[in-house]
Amino acid sequence: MAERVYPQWKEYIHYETTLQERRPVKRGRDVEEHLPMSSASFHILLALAGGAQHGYSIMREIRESTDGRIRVAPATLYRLIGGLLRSELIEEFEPGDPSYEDERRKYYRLTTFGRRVLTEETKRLVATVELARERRIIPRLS
Amino acid sequence: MISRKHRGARALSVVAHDVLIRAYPASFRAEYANEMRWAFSHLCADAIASRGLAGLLEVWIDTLVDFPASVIATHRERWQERAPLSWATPLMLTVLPVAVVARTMVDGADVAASFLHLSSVAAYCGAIRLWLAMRGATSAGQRIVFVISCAAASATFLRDTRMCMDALRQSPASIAIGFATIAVPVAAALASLRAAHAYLEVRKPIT
Repeated sequence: MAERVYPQWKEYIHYETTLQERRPVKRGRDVEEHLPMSSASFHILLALAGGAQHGYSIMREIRESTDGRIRVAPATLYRLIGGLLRSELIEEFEPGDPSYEDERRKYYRLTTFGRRVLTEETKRLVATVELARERRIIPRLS
Repeated sequence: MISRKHRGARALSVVAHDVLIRAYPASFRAEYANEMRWAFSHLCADAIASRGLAGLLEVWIDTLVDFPASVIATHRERWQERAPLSWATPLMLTVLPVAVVARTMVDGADVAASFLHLSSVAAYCGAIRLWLAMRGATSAGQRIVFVISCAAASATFLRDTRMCMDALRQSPASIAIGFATIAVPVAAALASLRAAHAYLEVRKPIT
């Protein structure tokens, strides 16, 4: 059925039809729709900002970069990866290069849209930190 | 060099984790089960290499703490994907209060009894909801739950039908009012949902 393959019904695809071509033009994909992000999703995108990685290396990087404060279990990681794939913030990536750790694994990388969302979320967090500094919750950087 | 005891603990952990994976939706497992197994196996190996069995225990604590919430969230997400324009929930929300009124009339204004009978209405609703959820599902466990729910709902439905027939024999007027009470809002709800669905169909892309 048509709706099964089109769960995001709010995000309409409008077709520009001409005599020669019929191509879909995506509209309504708004960065704001994805903000604020959950902490785990944000860290997944942050891990992928450095380049394509497979699931386990994403988990490892999150754990290491947060000194073990954020530990994402495999089930939650792949559930969030599924959501990020559907939202087109990340995409699967076929490694053709033997330098990748394990070519049999699924690799993921940030899309251009995902990078924009990550940038906006980072700006939002920075603004929150600035607000906390203004309210003297944390000291100002000298 | 990993010891034999640690190798055994890791293998056992991976097998136990495979059992946990069975709780996730079939479509999710088809996509990610292999990756999850592989990631968990590496997680265990790293934990054992760095902290021995204490590290493995920490991995298990994290996994078990995460398990209930992630199972529920995954099922909810997959369900929402399968039925984005589901009419069942608003229909049931309409039917439930109407059923209370109808039951009250049939049972002779005993509101407490009506609320008790809500359990049977909930059984019908659960069966319909499950039927919708089961479309395309392949898990044996889900099929068993579906069959048991259908059996329970059928038994309740037959009992209620008998009760309604008895009430109809005793007081035809009240049961007619009861049916009208149910039919009018249900028809109105269905009509409005049909209209909304038709509108969304028009706005949908050509596939």
